[in-house]
Amino acid sequence: MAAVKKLMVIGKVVRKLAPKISLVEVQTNRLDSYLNMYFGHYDQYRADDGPHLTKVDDYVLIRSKAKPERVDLIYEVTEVVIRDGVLRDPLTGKRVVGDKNRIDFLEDMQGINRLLPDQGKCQESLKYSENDVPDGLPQAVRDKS
Amino acid sequence: MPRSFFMRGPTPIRRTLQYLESGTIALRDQVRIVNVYYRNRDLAHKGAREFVFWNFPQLQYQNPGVQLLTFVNTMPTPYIEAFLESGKKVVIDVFDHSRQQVSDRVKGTLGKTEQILSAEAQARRTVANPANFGKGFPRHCICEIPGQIPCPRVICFPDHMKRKHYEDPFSPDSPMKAKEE
Repeated sequence: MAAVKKLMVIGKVVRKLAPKISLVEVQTNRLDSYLNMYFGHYDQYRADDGPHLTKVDDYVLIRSKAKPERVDLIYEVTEVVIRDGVLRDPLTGKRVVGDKNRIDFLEDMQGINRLLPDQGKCQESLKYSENDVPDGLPQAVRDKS
Repeated sequence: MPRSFFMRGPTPIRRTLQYLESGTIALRDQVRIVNVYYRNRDLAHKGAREFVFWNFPQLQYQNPGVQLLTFVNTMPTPYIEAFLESGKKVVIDVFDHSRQQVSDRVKGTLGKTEQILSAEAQARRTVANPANFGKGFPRHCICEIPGQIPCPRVICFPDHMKRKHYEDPFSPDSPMKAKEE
């Protein structure tokens, strides 16, 4: 018979209960037996930060302690996987910035800003008014009605 | 139930038991967490996107004890990160890979080999004695086997085979007296 494994999961820090105690929300996938579909299930764990200075919205790796000293602190944060706002590419170690529209290395973004200082102003030229839409398109009818 | 009740969402074939059971990747016991980082739009992330769309339900079904997570639109390049029991990390770069390439790399790096799977199957066969019956075995009770005593739910046992029956050696119908004679 296989031994029961101790808890080892990645979760997101939702709240700070104390300067060194964080509430971690962990997502696991559970199968709905009727739809045969996986849905996210969320559990919350109280974890001892230890030497890590975690903040809200950090992704942390928590494990159960070998010898818990307190009854209410059974889990501990062993590693901060992703710090909020400080994303790093694991292969190169460079910082990454961006969102769903554009994401790139911080050095490259700073280089573009330095070489093309008017890049932000050019975005205005992409906007159009209702006069620019040619006739016949449904959008033209909608805008002019 | 109308068909529309179950045929929901894109490619509902992914939500059939046959599809879930046909997964080929059995992760090693050391692997506890698998993260996939990809973006929704880039062509180079297409393989990772399709791997999550088609193979994640199968992977979770075959490995219920592993936590599978996806991080969308967080990193510029697609990669898969696995956390092992020992604390080590495995990072697999899947930039510009097809879905099949991603699946093969995950199976080759984190999955159990054919030798391990066959050894585990052999171990399961030796532990499971086909002669056993009871809870969790193919046959629930010995009354199902032809030639054995029938089920007392169907056939009423005679008095001397019931639990709280006490033999009265002085009764004329006692089988004990019949044996002596």
